[in-house]
Amino acid sequence: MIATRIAALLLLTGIASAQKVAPEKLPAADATLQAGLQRLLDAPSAAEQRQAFEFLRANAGAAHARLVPQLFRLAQLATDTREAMLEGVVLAELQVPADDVIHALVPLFDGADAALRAALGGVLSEYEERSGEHGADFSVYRALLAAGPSDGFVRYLLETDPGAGFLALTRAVHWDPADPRELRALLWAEHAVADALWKRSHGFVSADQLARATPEAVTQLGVLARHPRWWARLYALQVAADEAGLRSALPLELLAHDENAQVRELAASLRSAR
Amino acid sequence: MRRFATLACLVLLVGGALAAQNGRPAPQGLSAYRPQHGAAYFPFTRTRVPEALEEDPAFGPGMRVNGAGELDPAGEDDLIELVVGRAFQNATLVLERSGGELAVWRTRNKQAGSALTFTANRSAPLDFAGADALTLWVERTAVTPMLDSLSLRALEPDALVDRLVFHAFQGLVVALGGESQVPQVPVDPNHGTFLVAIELYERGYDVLMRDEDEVAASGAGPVYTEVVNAIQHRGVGELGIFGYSHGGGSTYDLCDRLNTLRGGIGTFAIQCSSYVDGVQNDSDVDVDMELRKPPSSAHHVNHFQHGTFADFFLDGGAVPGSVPAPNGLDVETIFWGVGATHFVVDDFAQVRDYILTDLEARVGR
Repeated sequence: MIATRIAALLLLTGIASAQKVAPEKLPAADATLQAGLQRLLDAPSAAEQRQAFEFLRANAGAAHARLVPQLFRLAQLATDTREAMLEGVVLAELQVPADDVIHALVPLFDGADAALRAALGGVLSEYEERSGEHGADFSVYRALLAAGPSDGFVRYLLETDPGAGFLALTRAVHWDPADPRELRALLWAEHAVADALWKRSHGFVSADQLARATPEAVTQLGVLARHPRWWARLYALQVAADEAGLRSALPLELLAHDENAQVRELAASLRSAR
Repeated sequence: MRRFATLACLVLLVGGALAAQNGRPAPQGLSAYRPQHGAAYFPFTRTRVPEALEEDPAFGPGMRVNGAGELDPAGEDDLIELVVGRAFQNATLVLERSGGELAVWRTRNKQAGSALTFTANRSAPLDFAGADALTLWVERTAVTPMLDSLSLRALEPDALVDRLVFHAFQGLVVALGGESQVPQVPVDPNHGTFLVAIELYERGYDVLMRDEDEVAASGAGPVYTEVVNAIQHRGVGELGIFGYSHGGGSTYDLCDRLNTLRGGIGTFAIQCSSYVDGVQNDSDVDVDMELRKPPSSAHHVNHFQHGTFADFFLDGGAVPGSVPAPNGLDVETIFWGVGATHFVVDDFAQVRDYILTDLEARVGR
């Protein structure tokens, strides 16, 4: 910025933003790479900047597994726009593939709190084609989901875009080709809910009329809330969290004692918000 | 030059009244404050409407309409703080309101039994309980936006002591900073977007000054929710949205979502938008230029510079259909902008003034 970084010297009485990630939740600092990133920030010439990029390239690790978490750490601890933008600059300059970023960051969802999930999503949304009209596209995670995702990652998908997340999880299941009944039931449930949400978002149904005007969605949410697959139950809760008009369809008391911790946590928060 | 002359007039007219407004004690009479946000005023500071502007229908005190069914995402923050000075030591003072659409409370959260009772739009004598001033909270309960007045009157002898004219907000301004720029008190002087936002707030606008991370790549998020709430329940119909760097990308994303879901939102127009070195905000790591004009924006202001190694080649660029025509202003073609980088372009007074002037001319308060 034009002046020196005066803000750092000011006694700040308050800051409003998306939640900040607690430093202890971030990947541990790699001294070599953090020094390399600092060298890049401080480079006084184009030539030295080039050398700093090459240093990072040489020390990035296989599939950039060493570098990507350090970039994420730097961005989360950034105190100005220059530092905060460096993560994207390096990923672009070194042409780091999407798969490398995804494989380096997705494990961090294990046990992640809401702030860390949001911060990781801030990076991963680059590969998710989020759109106001069509929702997110999680196909980039197909292989990861087929291998069995962590609970934290599933929660991230569902809170980012419940419908897209639910369908991505549904497609990742190894279904019995001879018996499509469960698959079809899940697809129908999602379709009924998505239809209700579409009517709501485009003004065909008001919030207070939603449950009455879309009884099939209410029925299907009730079915999903009791489904044996935990992520189906979590999906139902997430839809209700985003759309209060459908909350009455769910057995929140039951779900607050669910065997899955993610389900329990969200159900409890919805119950207390009633 | 005409632009700067206009701005100079505005500064002469309003600037003097705005200066040092918070340092003085409340005058004897009525003092109104700019709107709250959440539990208090953050990310703004408690800002008194200058005495000279208290009856100005545009620059005077503004009030959100508190319509039925409002979500009030930030909590009950639609009441305007009012300090009543004890004008005459032994006088009996009452409030007079223009109509029943104004409700006055002794508590900011409308605690039971704390409403002032009006008879024929005149309150009972105010009880200062021995103090020199009394803090009250004013709320606008009618949905239709219009001007309202509240007067302080002394009885025996009858005298009008002071008067406030409230405008009901019909416009809403959204200001989105760049990556890692977080609204804070005091404001970082290098956060140009937020400096514009604060100036608009002081000039009588309702302003959402936000971290751009509160707008997802899909346009969804807390900012979208608040804007839709304002349109659906507070009579807001005119929007001004602007941002710097990733905040420019978020400006696009927010406008895109509002336009896409327009059928379910209600009646509104994006009267003015602006990018300063806009960078797409598909993610925190997106470094692509934002070159798309915000969908349905009636007037888009664009400023940009050309990246070099000094700013890691980050920059915005020409946005077709924006002003200055035809694609916005490359600040490096003007003497004051030569050598600008991505990290300073939002701070130029000329850039800030351009946004403020264009927005003020097009977005109602």
